[in-house]
Amino acid sequence: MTTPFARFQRTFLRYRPPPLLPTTIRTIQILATLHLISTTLVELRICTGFSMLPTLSQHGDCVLVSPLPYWSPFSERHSKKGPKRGDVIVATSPMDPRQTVCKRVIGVEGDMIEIEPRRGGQRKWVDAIGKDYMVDVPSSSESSFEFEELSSRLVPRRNGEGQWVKVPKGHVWLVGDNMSNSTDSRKYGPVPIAMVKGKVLARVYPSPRWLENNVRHIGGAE
Amino acid sequence: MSKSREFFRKQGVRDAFRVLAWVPVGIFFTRHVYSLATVTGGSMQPTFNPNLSSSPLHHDVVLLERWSVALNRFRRGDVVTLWSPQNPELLTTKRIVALEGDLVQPLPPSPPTPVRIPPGHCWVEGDSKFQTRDSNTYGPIPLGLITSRVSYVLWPWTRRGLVESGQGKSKGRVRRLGDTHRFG
Repeated sequence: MTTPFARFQRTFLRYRPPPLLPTTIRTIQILATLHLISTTLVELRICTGFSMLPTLSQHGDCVLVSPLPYWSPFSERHSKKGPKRGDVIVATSPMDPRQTVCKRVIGVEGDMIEIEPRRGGQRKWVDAIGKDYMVDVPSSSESSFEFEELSSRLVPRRNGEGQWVKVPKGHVWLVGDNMSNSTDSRKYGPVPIAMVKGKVLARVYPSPRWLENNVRHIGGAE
Repeated sequence: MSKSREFFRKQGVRDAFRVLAWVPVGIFFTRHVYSLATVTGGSMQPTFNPNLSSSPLHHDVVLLERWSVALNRFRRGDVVTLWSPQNPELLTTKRIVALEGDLVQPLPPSPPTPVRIPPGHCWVEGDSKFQTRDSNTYGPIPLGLITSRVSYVLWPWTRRGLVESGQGKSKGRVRRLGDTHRFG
C-alpha cells in the first residue's frame, strides 16, 4: 500500500549523514595516496595544442606520463641518466611556472643545434650526404627570430645560412614535432633538466599506442 | 573463510594498515607544505653558515616553506632553494633579486650590460661578498626551478629566527617593473 512518494520519504527520513571526522580523514588519506602515485609513478594527462601535431592531436590526447625514467622515486631528486634525444617529455614551461609543455628532446648537453631549420621557401639538406632533409616551409614574416628571448648568454653562431647553438651543461633542447607552429626552445632557449617532469610513455585515449623514439642517427662527424 | 580474509581481520594487520594510510599524507606535507633541510657551503654567507671558515663541518638547519612556491608566490628578496640549472641533482640556496620585466645590472662574471628579465624567469644571487655561482654566471633562471622558500633558521640556537627578506648585495642595481608580487 505504499506509494512511491511515501517510500521515498521513508528512505529520506531514515538517511543519516556519514560520521564527519572519519570520512574526512579517509578522504584526505585517499587523495594523498592518489597524489603520491601520480607524482612518483604514473599519471594520465591531457595534452592539447598544435605543437606536437603529427604525434598528438590538437584536440587533447590523453597520454600516460611517468617521472620514473628521470626522477628517483624516493629522494625527490633527478637521477643520473637524463633525457635522451628523441624522448617526448613533459616539462614546466619556462615562460610560466604554472603551465606545463609537452615537447620532444632534440639535443642534450654539448650538442650543436640549428635553431631555425625552416628557412624561406627552400629545401635545405641537413648533411652533405643528403640522406635526410628538413621539411620545406614557405617563407613568412614570423620566421624572424627574436634574440632577446633567448635566456642566458647564448650567442648563436652563424654557420652558412643557419644559426647554431651549443646546448650548455645540464640543459636540453626541446622542440615540438610541428616545427612551424610551436613555442619551444627556439623561443625560450635551452631548458634545464630539472624542469623536465616526466616522460610521455604512450597515448591512451584515441587509438592507444606506445610513443617510441623516432629519431634516427644519420651518420656524421661523431 | 579464505586465508587472505583471515589475514586482514587480524588486529595487528589492521593497525599496520591504519598507520600506513598516513604515510602518503606525511609525504604530501613534506613535499608541498613544510620540510626541513640543511644548508652546506658559503654562498649565502652572512645569512647561513656565517663562520664557515672556523667550523667547516657546521651546517645550518632551516625550515623550507613549500606552499608558497606551490601557489606560485615569488617575491623579490626571498631566500629560495632551487635546482642548479647546470646540475639537475644539486639543490642550491639563493636570493631572488629580480622578477620578470625588471632591469638588472649584472656583476663581473657576466658582461656589464643591463639585463631585462624574460617572462617566467627571475634573477638569483648569493649573499656572499665573494663570487658565487648564481645568475651572474648562468643568467636569468626559470621560476620552475625554484622548489621552496627558506623561511626560518632552526638549528644554531643562537641565530634562530625568521630569514629576513632583503636586498642582499643588489642595492641600486635593480630597476623594478612593478612593486607587486607575481602570481597570486
